[in-house]
Amino acid sequence: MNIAMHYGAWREIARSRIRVQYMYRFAVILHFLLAAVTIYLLTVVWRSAYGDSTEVDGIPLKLMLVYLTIGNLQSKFLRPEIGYDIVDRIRQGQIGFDISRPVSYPSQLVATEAGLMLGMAPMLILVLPVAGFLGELAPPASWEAGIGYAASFLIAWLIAVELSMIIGLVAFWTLEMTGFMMVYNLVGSFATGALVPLWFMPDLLRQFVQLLPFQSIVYIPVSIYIGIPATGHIATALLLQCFWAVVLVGVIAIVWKRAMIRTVIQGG
Amino acid sequence: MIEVNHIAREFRRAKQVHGAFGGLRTFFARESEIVHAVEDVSFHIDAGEVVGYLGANGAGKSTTIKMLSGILVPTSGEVRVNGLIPWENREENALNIGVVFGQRTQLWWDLPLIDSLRIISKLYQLDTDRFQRNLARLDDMLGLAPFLDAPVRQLSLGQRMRGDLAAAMLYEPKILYLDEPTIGLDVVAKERMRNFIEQVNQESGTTIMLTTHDLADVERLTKRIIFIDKGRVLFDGPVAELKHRYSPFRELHVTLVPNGNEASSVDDIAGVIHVEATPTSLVIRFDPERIAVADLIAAVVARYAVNDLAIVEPALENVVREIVQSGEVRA
Repeated sequence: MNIAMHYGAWREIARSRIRVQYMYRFAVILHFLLAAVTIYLLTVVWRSAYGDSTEVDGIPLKLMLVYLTIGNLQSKFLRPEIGYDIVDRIRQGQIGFDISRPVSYPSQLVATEAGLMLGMAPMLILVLPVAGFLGELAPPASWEAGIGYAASFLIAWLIAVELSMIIGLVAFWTLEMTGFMMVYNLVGSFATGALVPLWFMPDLLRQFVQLLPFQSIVYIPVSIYIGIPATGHIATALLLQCFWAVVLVGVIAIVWKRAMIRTVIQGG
Repeated sequence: MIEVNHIAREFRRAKQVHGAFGGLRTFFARESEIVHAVEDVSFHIDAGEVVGYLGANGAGKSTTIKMLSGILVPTSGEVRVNGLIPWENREENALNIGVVFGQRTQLWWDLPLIDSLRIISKLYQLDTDRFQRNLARLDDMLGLAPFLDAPVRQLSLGQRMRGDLAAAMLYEPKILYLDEPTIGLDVVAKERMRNFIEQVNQESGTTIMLTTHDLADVERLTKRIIFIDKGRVLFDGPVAELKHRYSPFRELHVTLVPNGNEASSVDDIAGVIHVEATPTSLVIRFDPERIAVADLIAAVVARYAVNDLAIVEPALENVVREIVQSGEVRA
């Protein structure tokens, strides 16, 4: 595979995805409205949970609210749609076209998702002030935390895309994903740490969640941002994310290969 | 160009339990049955040929096309398309082939047609010059200009099919697979589609494999047909030969001048097999190997006052109906 040769194709796919996204303006607005509501509700809940104390387990309320605001804001950028896309394409038999292109389908999917995220980026200008008003915003804990967060965010994006792709590819076997998606979304919002940071989870649950890749999506980047990195150090936290990013590439490679052998294109 | 040796493809299908609580029992029983979509198909297509791939619904036509385009792996057998095994070299093979499925579109539903074509030009690594040149040529042949900027979901079926053909030919593939390209099209759109296919084959030497239920497509475009039934090849050869096997005779349809003829007959002419006569018309079935058409016409004109004459070829449609119903081809 030649990266330079395929670059043009990926860029065009990403660009067209941005265009499609803005065609459905209402969906974009709703997306961020949902983020705003989530942030507001979480803020209310956590304020009341803190009650009169300004600190619980060494975590000040303000830090907690910054965590929730940043975490839920960024998870709007890390909620890939390709999982649904793949299922749709498989069910309608359109997948035949996708997999008979000179550019590999998984790479087309990554390009699609990149378009989706880049298309969302300008919305931040509108959304940030609202999020700050409803929740709590603060700059990163230090400049190292800022750089660490930027790197961590990108890896988090990659992991989110990889997970979504794996879920979507399972439809080659099951053809139907509604139930699976529900479970994934539930686990996705809980195990990522977007609702409850890992440090407030009971020990057993936390140990379990730490064995999963989901914490890489919200908990790890945001904990770097607020200056209490998950593993104690920014570098090891990033390494843990990289580990998962690579493992998931391997999983995709295996699932993809098997899917291609057993592919059944629906319809005559 | 295309070599197919004894390919077969089976599918596993969950067996449905019927009757009381059928759905629930299906859920728990999970028995499956094996369906043979393609049992044993072999053929060989040369570069530049146009071949009609025919058969009833469910005969295995689309399954074959899917295996040839690399999106389906056969259960057994060998395929080489331009020297490549399609499913093992899927991305390389993709550069050599264009595919049009009449029942679905490869275009991006939400985007204007021109955007779809642009994405395809990038996927297949066309530079801007070549893209513009090919687009201009396709526009010339298919008349795309009026709807290039319309989102694909708003196109009529005829327009969408033209868009799909343009998408498949944009990167000038050596081989074009057309799976029912004229399905659902009106007469004018069908004719345009056929003209395009003919032109592409003649000008660019594109090898074309065409599945269709519209036998007018076949009569117009192909010299050779491969006929499959229940996943096996029943016939592979020239259209003319198949017709000849079924009806070696032709018919001369004669319209007579009203009230201009006295009682006469042509039964006695050698080579005439059967005559249906009315006061104003004759349908003469004859054996072209025993009497030349010109001689027959001369004899008829000598005996009758004739308004009009037409030679009628046996219809492929009747031939195909008979094959499908009997499940075999006459020797």
